[in-house]
Amino acid sequence: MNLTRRQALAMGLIALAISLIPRGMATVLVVGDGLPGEWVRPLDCLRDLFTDLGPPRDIGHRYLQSFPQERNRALLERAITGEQQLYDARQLRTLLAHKREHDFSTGDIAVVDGWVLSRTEARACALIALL
Amino acid sequence: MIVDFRTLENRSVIEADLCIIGAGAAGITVAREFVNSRLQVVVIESGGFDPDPDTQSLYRGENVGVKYYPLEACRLRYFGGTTGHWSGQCSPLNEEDFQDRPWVPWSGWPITKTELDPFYKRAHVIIGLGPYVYNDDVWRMVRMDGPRLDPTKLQVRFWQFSRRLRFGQVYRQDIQNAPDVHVYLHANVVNIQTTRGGSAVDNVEIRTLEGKGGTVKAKIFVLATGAIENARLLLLSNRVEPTGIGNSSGLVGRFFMEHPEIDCGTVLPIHPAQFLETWRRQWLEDLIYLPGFRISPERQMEEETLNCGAMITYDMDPDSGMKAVLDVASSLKRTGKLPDHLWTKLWNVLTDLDDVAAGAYTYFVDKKEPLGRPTLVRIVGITEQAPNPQSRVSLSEEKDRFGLNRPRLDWRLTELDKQGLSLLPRLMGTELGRLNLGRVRLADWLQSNGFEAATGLRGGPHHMGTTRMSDDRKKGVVDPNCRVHGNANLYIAGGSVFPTSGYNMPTLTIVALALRLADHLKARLI
Repeated sequence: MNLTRRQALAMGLIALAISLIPRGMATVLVVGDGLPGEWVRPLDCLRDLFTDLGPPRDIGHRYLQSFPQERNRALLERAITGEQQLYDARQLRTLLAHKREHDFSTGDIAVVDGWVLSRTEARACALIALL
Repeated sequence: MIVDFRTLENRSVIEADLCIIGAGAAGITVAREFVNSRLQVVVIESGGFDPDPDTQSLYRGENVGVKYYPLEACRLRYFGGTTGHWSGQCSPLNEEDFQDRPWVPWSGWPITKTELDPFYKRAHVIIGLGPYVYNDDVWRMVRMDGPRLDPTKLQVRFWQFSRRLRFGQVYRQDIQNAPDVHVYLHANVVNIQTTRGGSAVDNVEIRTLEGKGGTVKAKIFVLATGAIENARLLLLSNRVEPTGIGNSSGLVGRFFMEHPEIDCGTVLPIHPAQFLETWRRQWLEDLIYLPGFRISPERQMEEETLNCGAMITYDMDPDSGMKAVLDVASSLKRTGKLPDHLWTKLWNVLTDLDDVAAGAYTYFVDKKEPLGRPTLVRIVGITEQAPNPQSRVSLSEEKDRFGLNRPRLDWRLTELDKQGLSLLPRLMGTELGRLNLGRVRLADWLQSNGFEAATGLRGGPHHMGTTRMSDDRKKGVVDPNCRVHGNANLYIAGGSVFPTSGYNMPTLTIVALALRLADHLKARLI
């Protein structure tokens, strides 16, 4: 059972990491374009970044167990996007990639079930877990 | 010239200018420096040219500390010494290993890395290594793009692999042909006899397993029998000084250090083949380089950790054809025999010819190790061990066949020893994440109860520190020239003189220090 859970987490991480490559591999992703000028909630975009929400949701639940004070959608959305308005999933992906790099550079990491993740990655998963 | 001591008359007395006890990497290196020196050099070796169970059993001893290998399995007692099962992995110590670091008790060498550099370069020739380069410049040499790590956190450090592995085979002819170097095989030193005041060594007493005795008298003696046996012989030689030779401060045998090694985590690479292509062994014609990670000196200072490094290894799909081919080749190379489950392996080859063909192409055309089909990518951490007087070699109550006390090893680890191994995979996690090369998962033991929960903790086996070097006789057994404090003509060669261990494999440093010692002895004798 343990191994299966780990495998699931690993799959989630691969999907997560690939999703954060700014112009990365779209093959495993279903990317919603969104309409120009239309403001999109991060949560909706995140939904579009994964073909399977199960593994990141699992990571997100674990993150929220460790940081229960972040169990709040609005708070997580603000933490991820700041003041920036997003129009589509592609923009979100670019934003997440930049934030990921910034988090790792500044050491703002979260260790979730042993995985060393950027804070933003972990929060993105937490947001999915709150779906 | 090489002589079987058993063929000599009983109670033979041999006289020489220099007597070296032990024909391993250190002893052979010192001896070779005296070829054609016109000095009479004697090398005393317990074993012969091949391993022998009776001789090897003289290494047996007690383990009472951290779970450890049987002592007789760690070292080889024959001509060439432990180079007989050495992997050949080499890298010099780092600058900071020589420095006095306030957060590392008993740290600091009385010599600097800069002073040792010329000897490292000479050691490269003896060991059969490439250019004296271990930093990022190697990427350029092997025509690879290295990762752009933040050097204030994490650095790349390479290992090289020896092309002259087995000193006993490589240098046997040199020694055999040397008119002024006499090696006596099957000769066990059972006592180092000092003069009446204990201020110098007068002779060493020899016994063979068959009971024949003898004596070697010399102007200068070099003890080069490994860190456990060096300490044991000094402690056993207590006829004049009751606590043993060089032990007035009670330090002989203390500060035993290993290189604790353990799986620290796994990597989930974004592009596995590309990742492993970077972090596996790199071939440059017949030279082999292995890249690894290390904690930057700045970060060591900030976090007050020990020096620590890591290499990337991976598990291959057990059913892959290439794995089967490598298993067969490895078994033939190591034992000369075909491996168990041969038919299963042949079946794996036949049913996975694509993998075998790809591997063969990589090996023969690209001149690289075949990757096979990787499954799990591991981080293997290796750390310096902090000098600790409680981690020690002493004498056991148990006796060997000469009636001499066997060694008793009490290997101890502290929380400080764990800190680098804990920090390094986290730094790798942040850097590999920042570059989006992969994500790191920390090993279970790092998430729970520390070393106690770690099942795979092991040592090099590298033995160091038991006759440590210091300017101050209250802090060390030998002085910066490797002469035993308070003794005029007894020197020590080998890992036992290391005051701190670094995380790198010790043989290159042992050979460099042996060359430095040889230069010093030449200046005294010639």
